[in-house]
Amino acid sequence: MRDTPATDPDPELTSKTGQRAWLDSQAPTWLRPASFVLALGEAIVIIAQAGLIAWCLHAAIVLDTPIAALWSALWGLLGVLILRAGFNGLRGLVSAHASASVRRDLRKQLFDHLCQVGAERLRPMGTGELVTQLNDHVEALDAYYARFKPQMASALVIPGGIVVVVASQNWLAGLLLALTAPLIPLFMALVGMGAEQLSRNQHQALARLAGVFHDRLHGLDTIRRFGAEAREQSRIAEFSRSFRQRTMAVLRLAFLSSAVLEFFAAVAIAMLAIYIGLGLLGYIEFGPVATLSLGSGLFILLLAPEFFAPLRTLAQHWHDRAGALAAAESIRPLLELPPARGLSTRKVAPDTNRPLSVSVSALGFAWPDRTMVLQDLDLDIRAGEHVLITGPSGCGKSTLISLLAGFISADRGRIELGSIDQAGLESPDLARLRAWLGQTPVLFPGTIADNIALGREQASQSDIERAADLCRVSEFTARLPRGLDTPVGQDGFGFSGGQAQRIALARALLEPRPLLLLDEPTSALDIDSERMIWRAIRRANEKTPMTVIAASHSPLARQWADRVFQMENGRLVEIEE
Amino acid sequence: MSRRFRMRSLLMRRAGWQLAGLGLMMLSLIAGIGLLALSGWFITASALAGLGLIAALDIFTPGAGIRLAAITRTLSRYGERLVTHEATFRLLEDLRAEVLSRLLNHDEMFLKGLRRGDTLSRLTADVDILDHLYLGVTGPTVAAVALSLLAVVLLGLIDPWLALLTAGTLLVLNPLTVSSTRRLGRAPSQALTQALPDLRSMSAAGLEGLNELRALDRTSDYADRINEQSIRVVDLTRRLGALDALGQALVLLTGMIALWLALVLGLLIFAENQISAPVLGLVVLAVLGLNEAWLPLPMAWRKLSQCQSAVERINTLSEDPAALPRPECPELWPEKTSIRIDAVTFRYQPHQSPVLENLDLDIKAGQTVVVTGPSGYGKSSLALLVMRQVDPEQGRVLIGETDVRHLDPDDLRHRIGYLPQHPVLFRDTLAANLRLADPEADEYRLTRALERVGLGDFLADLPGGLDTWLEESGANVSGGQRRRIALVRLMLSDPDIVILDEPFESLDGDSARQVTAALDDWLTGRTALIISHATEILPSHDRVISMTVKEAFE
Repeated sequence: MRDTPATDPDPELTSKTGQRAWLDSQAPTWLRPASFVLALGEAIVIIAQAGLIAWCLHAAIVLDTPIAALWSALWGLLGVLILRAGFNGLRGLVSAHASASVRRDLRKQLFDHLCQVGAERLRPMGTGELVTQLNDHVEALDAYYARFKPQMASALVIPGGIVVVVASQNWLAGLLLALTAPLIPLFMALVGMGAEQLSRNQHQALARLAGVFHDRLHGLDTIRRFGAEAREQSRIAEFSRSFRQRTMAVLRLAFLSSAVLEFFAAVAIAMLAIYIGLGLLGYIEFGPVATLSLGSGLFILLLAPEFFAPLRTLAQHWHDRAGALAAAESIRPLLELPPARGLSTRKVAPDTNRPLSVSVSALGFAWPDRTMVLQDLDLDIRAGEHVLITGPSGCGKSTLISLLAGFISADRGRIELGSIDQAGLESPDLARLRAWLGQTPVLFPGTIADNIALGREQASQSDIERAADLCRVSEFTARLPRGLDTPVGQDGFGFSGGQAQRIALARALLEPRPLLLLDEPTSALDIDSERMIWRAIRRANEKTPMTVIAASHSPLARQWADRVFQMENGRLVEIEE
Repeated sequence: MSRRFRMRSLLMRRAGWQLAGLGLMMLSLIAGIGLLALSGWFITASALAGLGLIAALDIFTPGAGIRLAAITRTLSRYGERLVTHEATFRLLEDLRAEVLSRLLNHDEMFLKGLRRGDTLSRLTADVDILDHLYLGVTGPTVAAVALSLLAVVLLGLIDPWLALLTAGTLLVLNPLTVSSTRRLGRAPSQALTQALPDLRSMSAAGLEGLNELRALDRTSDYADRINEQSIRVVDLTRRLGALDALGQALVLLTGMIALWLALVLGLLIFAENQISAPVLGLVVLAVLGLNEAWLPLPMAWRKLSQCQSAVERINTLSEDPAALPRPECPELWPEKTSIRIDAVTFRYQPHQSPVLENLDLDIKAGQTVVVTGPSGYGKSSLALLVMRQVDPEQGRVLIGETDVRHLDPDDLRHRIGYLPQHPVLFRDTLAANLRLADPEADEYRLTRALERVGLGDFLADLPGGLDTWLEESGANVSGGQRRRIALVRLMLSDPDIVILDEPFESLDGDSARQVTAALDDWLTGRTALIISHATEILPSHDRVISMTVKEAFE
């Protein structure tokens, strides 16, 4: 049974128009005007360049002007040519800057938002996928802002300017260019529509091929154990071959769009050259032939390739656009995820010295698109009690712990810590009241000591050592040459699950809190490591008494607990021992 | 013999495709230049003829030439793109096969080292990045240089100074620009190869440990740290982008200077009546057209450093010597496959304390022995020693009466069936994953084998049955199912010795009982070492050994 009907995704979130509008809204406001101004400058310089070259040749060839009289024009031309390179470089610098600011802001916004959404909702999406979205997909936007968007402005302004200027010289030549121009986007759109869909499939195929290959590298050992070297090599070759054949089928079509553009560019130049040549020879009478001269003819001819060049570059950057649209499609739904816990309104100064009583009444909670996990759940725990919550996996034990911890908020009901409404507490106040330990310990890049302190600068070295002793971290760090300063992570020392969990417990107990919440703290551990964890919790309690609520199905936890509750159908039933 | 990957020899293997691509690339550039140059010649000649300054002009030949150039340009561009892509994909195919076969020569400890961190992902990406080498660098560079040299020769026929100052300028200044932007780009590229993975691992830890951070109210601090790293990454890419823009502007500037020199020198030579006016028109437009060949090069060469570090990384992989010496004259696989561990001391790293100290263990042929004990007490290293993935510091490991150091490593791999703690399933169909062990197994046998470990319902629920594709790290398969699929795969093979590392982990009681029943059957007649921290559910066994201190107590 579904509690809430699955809502159709917002069409605005999935449509290409929606992605484009969103991508454009991310760009700094100055990018569009700056791109247009630079494109306009480039257009003027290009036209001046063609005009000066054509005029010099006309003057020397037709008017017999001595070269001495041309020097001022030639120096002017040199200046124009340098300006052209300058405009080109400037446009590149400006757009690289714009792209950097978009990516920087977006990644920050995205990570901050993911923190709000919370681990519970993110876990099913897979950390690997999220890391890709946060890093690679945000980086994939670079080409869009650094290349595609500025080129879009150039492709509008430069050909437009050239058509106007050419038409003013010879309306027929202008008309010819103007006629090919709208045909180009039309053809490109027709071919592109199919190609874009296909290219997205191809992107998936490439990712799949990379994955297939990666898996084989990962499992080389397995391949060899089964003597399957030759078979797997030919399997990879088979995958590669079918990928190549499929991709080439896509590309044959996709390259048609650039071929169309190439065709129009080449044919237009050829037609203009032949029209101008025949007109100059006096072989044709049609159109404004009479006004043609060598100068205007060359001017038009020189501008013809410049007319097509920005369009051609734009076509080359078309896949940048496709990449950015795909990235936007993957990033935007993340930004639309609702935050796990509404912002609190009230500020309360809780008493953090004594163990807390916990009172839960009529608590109800359901994950989106799933049946109710908790229904009208009531629970009363006196200050200082050690309570165990058991039940089969998937019954909602962890959800209850996350609710008590304030990681997610309940649909209905109320949680009181002491006599304070937990929903009204802000994150720093909550952190002063409760400590938490999860099922799989997470170690952050840094040393073991860094991992215990986790940025709490008020914690002294001796505090850290005390917590490490309490949780038996010192027991294995003593054997390491750098002790607590041993780095963890990729290149550092690898820890077993039990050792990592002891570090995580030391982190949770570094500053004792009146309420300790444990979410399946030992389910991934062997019996000795598990015993060590429960003993450490007991010792910590002897020093600073606290209320402890643990979700676990371990038999050892039963020995440890004062009271045991069984979760059944979203409610808790106390088990008398 | 050097085992280095030679890019050149790899490139040569597809020489036919490469040359065809290069030929088409040059043809399209020549057609483009020819189109402009002929048009310039034709218009100038027409203007002169129209004014009566030269005699009648044959309009058909140049007209046909212009049309031919236009058509050639279109077709050769299309063909070039198809052929170069085809060539690249074939090259990548070869490269994947090459990497796989080279790596298959390494021993297990080396491969295990590869799996740490993101080495494998990087290797996969490295292979993909190498497509740029041919498509973006070799082809266009050869084409640009060859065309410019051709231009030097052709323009040299008109005037040597004209040739040297125009095409020569391109040939001198452009490589200079390309090499200096590449040099300037090296430091930020290098920094980026470190900064980006750092950002990735920081964000991975942050997302995994969101609750850890929230519980201690450290979220915003951590977000700040990630933002700092993100700024570092973005700033490096911005610098590289700016460098690309600069390189492109400089190449454009060089082209513009060459164009200007062509115009000035052309006018001077024309004034001295050494060339005709139509040739002047041809020269100016040809030099303008030549520029097109150089424009893509700075960015292409800047990216080449990425290709080079990819090749280097692949090279270091294939250069490492085998960690364990192979026996020169391996002994035959023993008839009776008992296992004896004789006073073995073992440590992973020289500076660490030993994991096993003076350990003795005897498993008679056909016996099943269970080793249990807490983590970190060397249970798994026991398995590694028997398979000789590591060698002991002191003592011996014997199979039958033979020291494993004298056995053929391939025998050890094929005769010992091993279920690792984290078994690997491939992104492939379920059937293909199982047939890894037995390519001959028919569907009935696979189905029966799955049913025996309680995966019958799982199979029935799969949309494509045995042909269902298993996703990345078994995203559509739970941890327990994954382990059982790997076990079924193992049970389709016929090893003499079986080592199971935590076969019951992440299995609930019912599935664990089904697995033990299936194992009871299969293990009969095989020598088995089962490593398990759980002792409640075990297949029938001869002994349980508990490893609590650094030696075994029976």
